[in-house]
Amino acid sequence: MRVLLVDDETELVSTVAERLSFRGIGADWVTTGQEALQLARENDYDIAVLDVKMPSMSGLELAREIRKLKPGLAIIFLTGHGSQADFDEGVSQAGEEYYLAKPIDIEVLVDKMKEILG
Amino acid sequence: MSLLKRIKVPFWDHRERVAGAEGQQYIFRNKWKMLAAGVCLLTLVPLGVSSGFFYQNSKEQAIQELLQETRVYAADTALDVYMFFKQYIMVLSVLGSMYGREQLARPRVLEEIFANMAKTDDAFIHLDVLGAEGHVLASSCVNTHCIRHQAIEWIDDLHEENFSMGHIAGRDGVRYLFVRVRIVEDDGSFFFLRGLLPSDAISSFLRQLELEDIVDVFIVDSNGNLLTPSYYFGKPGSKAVMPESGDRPTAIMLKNPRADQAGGSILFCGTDFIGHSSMRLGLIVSERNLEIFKGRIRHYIIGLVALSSIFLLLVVFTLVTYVVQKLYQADLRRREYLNQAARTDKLASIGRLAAGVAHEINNPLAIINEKAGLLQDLLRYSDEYREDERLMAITDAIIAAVQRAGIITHRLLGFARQMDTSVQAMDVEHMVREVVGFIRKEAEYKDITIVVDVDEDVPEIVSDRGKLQQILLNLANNAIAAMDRGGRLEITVRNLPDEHAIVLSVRDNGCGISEENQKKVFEPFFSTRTQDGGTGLGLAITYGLVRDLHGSMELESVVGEGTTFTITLPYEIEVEEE
Repeated sequence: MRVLLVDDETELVSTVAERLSFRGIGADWVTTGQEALQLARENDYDIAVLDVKMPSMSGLELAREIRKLKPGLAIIFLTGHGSQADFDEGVSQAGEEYYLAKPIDIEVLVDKMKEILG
Repeated sequence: MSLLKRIKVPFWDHRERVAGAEGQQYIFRNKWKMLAAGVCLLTLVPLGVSSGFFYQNSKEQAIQELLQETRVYAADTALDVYMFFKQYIMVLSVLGSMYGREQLARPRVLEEIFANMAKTDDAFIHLDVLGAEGHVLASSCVNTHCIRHQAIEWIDDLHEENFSMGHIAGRDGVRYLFVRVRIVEDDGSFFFLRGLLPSDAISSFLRQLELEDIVDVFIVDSNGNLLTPSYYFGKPGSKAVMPESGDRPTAIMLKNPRADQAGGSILFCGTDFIGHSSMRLGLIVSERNLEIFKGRIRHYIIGLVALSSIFLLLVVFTLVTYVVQKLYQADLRRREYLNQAARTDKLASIGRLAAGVAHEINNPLAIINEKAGLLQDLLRYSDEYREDERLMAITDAIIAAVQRAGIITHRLLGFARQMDTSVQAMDVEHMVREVVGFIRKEAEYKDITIVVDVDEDVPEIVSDRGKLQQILLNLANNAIAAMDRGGRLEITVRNLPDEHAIVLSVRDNGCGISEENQKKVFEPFFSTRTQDGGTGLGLAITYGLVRDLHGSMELESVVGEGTTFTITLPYEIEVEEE
């Protein structure tokens, strides 16, 4: 299972990646949408975990762009907060089950990933 | 006093502090007074003015009527006087025809006839026989009243008239009234008989004519000098104030010439010619009639004005009271809305502030969470510390605390998010549980159990989530306030598929609301908790919010057993354009 993690908080995203690696999940992490698109083009990922609120390119935008490159890619959103509109769009893209609020429980995240990949 | 209390309107005692003015003022009472004064002025002044005009007009009319009446009196009385003269003329005519010129010109015969006639009281006092040229043929008189032998002055008229009347100066300077007839003899020649009338007889006759309203009757010559005494104008020879003579009887209104009569009253003077003579009859009609007429009009007008004033004042006061009462109510309503808006606004500001804080805290919280998690992972996967329960417990505690903080931030964020959007589809149970999350802590302090019971078949509804939460929050807070320790708060949601509505009820087993107060609880400013900061607006606002959501709210309560508020809401509300 290969996972792409995107969040503008380096401390957060790097820590989550490290913790996932403890659980046998290989995760690449970046802090901007542009870097994420670059990685997505170069590699095949099973799941993308995106922060909704990011500077320059939001998680929702990024998700649309990534979908264009890799239509089958599963997406999980993480959100610190968000408007109803963000919530509605996030849910319509990923499903309500995969719109997770920070702070997240790592085990819940792992469970969701396993669920996606069956 | 009790009547005053009963009719007293609520705004009468409403006082409030007014900007710029010192102390509190009865602003609505003052408004009422100003309005009432203004409207009274507007209605009563025209009434007074028109009544004045009416009075004046009626007075004018009364004067015209009295003048007309006076003219009629003058014409009638002049005719009476003429008839009086005619009697004497008849006597002379008979005398002339009986004796003829020959006989009458003899002084002895004339003396005899005169002496016979003088036996009656009102006989001639002087008798002349005059020739065709106006010269005196014979003359006989009562000694005291003899006049100089005098020829006829109006020789031109002699041949045209069979009789005439006039006045002539006596030896004593007194003017005497006379009648004169022309007697035509068988041979076509003619002579005149002239008789002077006794003044006393004329005066007493004129006095007899003073009837009803006629207070003075007199005769004047062509210059307006009195020939008979007048009560108002004095002795014969004095000048009488008379209307300009015309062909027809005339009348004028004049000021009473007798200074000894109080009030400077008004008289009506009428006049008409006596027969074809140059003499005129004058008469005075007293002002008594006018006074009576004026008095009657005055009574009538005063009565009318008083009645209409009372009616107008009644209408004015009722109307003004109604208007000011409406103003007062509108003002109260405006305040209520302002309060409601202020409250909603306050809630929204708190929400935004909370969201801001929550957002700022959420990211560091997430980092703490992940770092603590990583620490735990590191410990768990290292041989050295895997068994160290104390370290594990420490990291667990950190993560648990972070999770708790996370729940709080989520709740705040969710709360703020609903402030942004109005109408949306929502899961009712989720919404209810969110509200319960807000009050759980307070309920726990009072040891109150909260039970949420939502029917399986309750569908998603489309409504204003923020308002609905506020409604529930208000009701739940009220319920908690009404209960002592160990109470039980039940929130149930039922489906009414036939009516496309859901029913939310909030039940407590607190102190309950008395039947009397049940009618008032939805009124603004009604509160039983004013001592501890109740504004009396909570339920009024809640009621307003329920109406906003096209719902209805009912209340059931038994004192000592508890209260249930039941809200019925439609599945869907139409979004109103703003």
